[in-house]
Amino acid sequence: MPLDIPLIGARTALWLVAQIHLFLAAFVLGAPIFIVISEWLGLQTRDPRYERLARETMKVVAIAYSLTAVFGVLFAFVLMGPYQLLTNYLFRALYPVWALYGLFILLETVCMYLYWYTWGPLSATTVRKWMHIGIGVVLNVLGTIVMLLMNAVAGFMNTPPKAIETATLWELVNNAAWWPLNLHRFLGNITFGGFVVALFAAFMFLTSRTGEDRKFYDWMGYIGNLIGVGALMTMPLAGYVLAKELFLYDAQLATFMMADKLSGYFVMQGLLVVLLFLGANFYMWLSMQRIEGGPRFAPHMKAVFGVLLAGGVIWVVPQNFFPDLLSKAPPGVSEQALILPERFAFLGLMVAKALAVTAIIIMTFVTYLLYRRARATGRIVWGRIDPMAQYVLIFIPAVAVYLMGLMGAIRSLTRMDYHVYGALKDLTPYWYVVTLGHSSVMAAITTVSFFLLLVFVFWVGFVMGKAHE
Amino acid sequence: MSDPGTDPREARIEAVPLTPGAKGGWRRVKGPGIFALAGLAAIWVLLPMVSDSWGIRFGAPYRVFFSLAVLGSALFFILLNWGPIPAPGSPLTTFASIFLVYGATVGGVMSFGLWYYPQFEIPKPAVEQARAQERGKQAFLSPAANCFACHSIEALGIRGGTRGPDLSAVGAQAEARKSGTPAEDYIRESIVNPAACLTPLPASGLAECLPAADPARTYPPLMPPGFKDRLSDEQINDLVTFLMGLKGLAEQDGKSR
Repeated sequence: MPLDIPLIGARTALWLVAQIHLFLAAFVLGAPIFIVISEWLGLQTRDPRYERLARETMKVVAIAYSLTAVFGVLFAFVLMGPYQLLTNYLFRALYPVWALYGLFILLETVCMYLYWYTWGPLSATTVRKWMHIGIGVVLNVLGTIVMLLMNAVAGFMNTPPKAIETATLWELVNNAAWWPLNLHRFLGNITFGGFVVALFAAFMFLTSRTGEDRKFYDWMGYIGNLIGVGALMTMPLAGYVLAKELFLYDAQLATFMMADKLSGYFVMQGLLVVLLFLGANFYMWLSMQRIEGGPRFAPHMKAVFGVLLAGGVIWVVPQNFFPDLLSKAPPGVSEQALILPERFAFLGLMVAKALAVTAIIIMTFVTYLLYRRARATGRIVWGRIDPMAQYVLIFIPAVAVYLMGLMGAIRSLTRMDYHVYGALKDLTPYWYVVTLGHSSVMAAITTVSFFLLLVFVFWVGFVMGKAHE
Repeated sequence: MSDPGTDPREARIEAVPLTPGAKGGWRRVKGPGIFALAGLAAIWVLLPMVSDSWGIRFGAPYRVFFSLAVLGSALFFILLNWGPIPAPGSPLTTFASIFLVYGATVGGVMSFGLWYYPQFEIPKPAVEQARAQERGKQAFLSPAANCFACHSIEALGIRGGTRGPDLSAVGAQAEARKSGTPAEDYIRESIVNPAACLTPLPASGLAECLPAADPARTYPPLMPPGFKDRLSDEQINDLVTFLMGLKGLAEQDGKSR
């Protein structure tokens, strides 16, 4: 190993900077998608709130963009030092992809600043506004291309072509995991962006001192959460598609993930997704309070939550408590105690899990239908909401960010002791698959670090700005 | 999505804050509390009484798991019943409450990850081994040992002398060098007592070392004795660990598969 990082080690250093870079990147790629849509809705409906939502979110994106670049550079530094072998390999194998990545990052940056700094000048007339929206669309196209390029690299590391020595560049790029990863990350970025917007709105609601601001940020939090939950409902399917592609590529990978050393990670994933859905439904429960006559739907919603919780338990309950395929029961513990009883063995099967998650998604949809039903019969009083709702909007992003960190660890650890699965061995001291406990701590550190960065962005961009005004 | 700006159902009146504490304390916890107690009683009292033949006897880890689910569900319904909470009054309490909620959420899920199960792979030995290998490499390159004066390690790009064998694959070759002697012991012996068994020349086609020098089949006995005195025990251990890790060019390139 050429170099190491003192005290924390190269893998931990890489993990920290890469994950924070990816969090920021997910936000700056995901948020502009609905920023442009919101700007367009503002133009179409003449409702100033859409315009304000788009503009304030874009301000957060513009500040976060610099941080994304900073952590991207740190990521590259750590790769170039302790991971020279991997860096050289990836550059040799995918050089045109890296070159294009550099080019498109440059174009995206130019477009992002153009979009942000022309907001005022291009808002004067409808024609100019359409031009501005056009720049936003181009920004999203460029951002999506950047994501596709990096997904090609990430997918290549997981599922390189079997005949790697004779593969063409296109075969290296269009590897088995590429499109599933594109789909998964595209939807994930929208979910992530929506929840971060909700977090921002909650932060601003709680720090606002005027009724007008509270009304607006209450509405903004609702919209952010709606976007996040809407995209979240598609995520289990996208995850399933990705897992299936990995299975078809190499069945050993699927066993390793679902039944062997990463099986505990998926129990934790289940718990986190259930918490997300519970949080989203709880927020809708609290949202009913701002609708006149809304609380009369409470008994229906409680019944929905009962089904949701039962579905959650079925989804999370593990088939067994063995940490991997080769483990034996600890001394004094019978093997029978660590596996589901015979009559309930079906709860550990994928069919039961799929049905449970389907029930959770449907119940969440029912909650939103109840909300819409309440809206149809009563007036909404934005800003009249239990402050607890804002804390729920803080809880949900905390879980979502953590989940994304843990899922990133799963994707990476699926390569076992390879940098590029089956092609390039990990010869560093950190070749081993880390424990769930270790990954839990790392995900917690990166989640909190990302939050501190976001709070810094909110504070610099809005609280300080208002104080200055 | 409908137009919220012009929707007549949306009140444009000033929002009236909800009144905190609208519900009594007992009412908040009564139903969920009864549910939790009943659930825990069923899990810990009734289930163990059930006959094994029913096939529904859950082990202790499952019962802990279901208990957490019951308590979590009860907490969820308590929160549903809670009613409006007071808004934070000052910037300090606002920021503190935001950090508390975020931190408690992250801390809670992290605790689950740490609890979930005794972990499966102990990473420390791997890290320690790598550090020992790095120290061994430094010992190899140090003037005190001066190994590179006679030996090269092409796999690592170390171009030293050629009087001794290239050590690129010594970790793999050592396994067959001396019948009945583990690779690690053979490498140690070849450092502290190099004349005990001489390394065969690559052209000889031999795998095993020979007890006496043979110009046609072995490297000449040029390796000086006395490394046991020149290097500490720790340095020799590190050197052995380093050499044991050298498995050849293919492995170093990561293309062994």
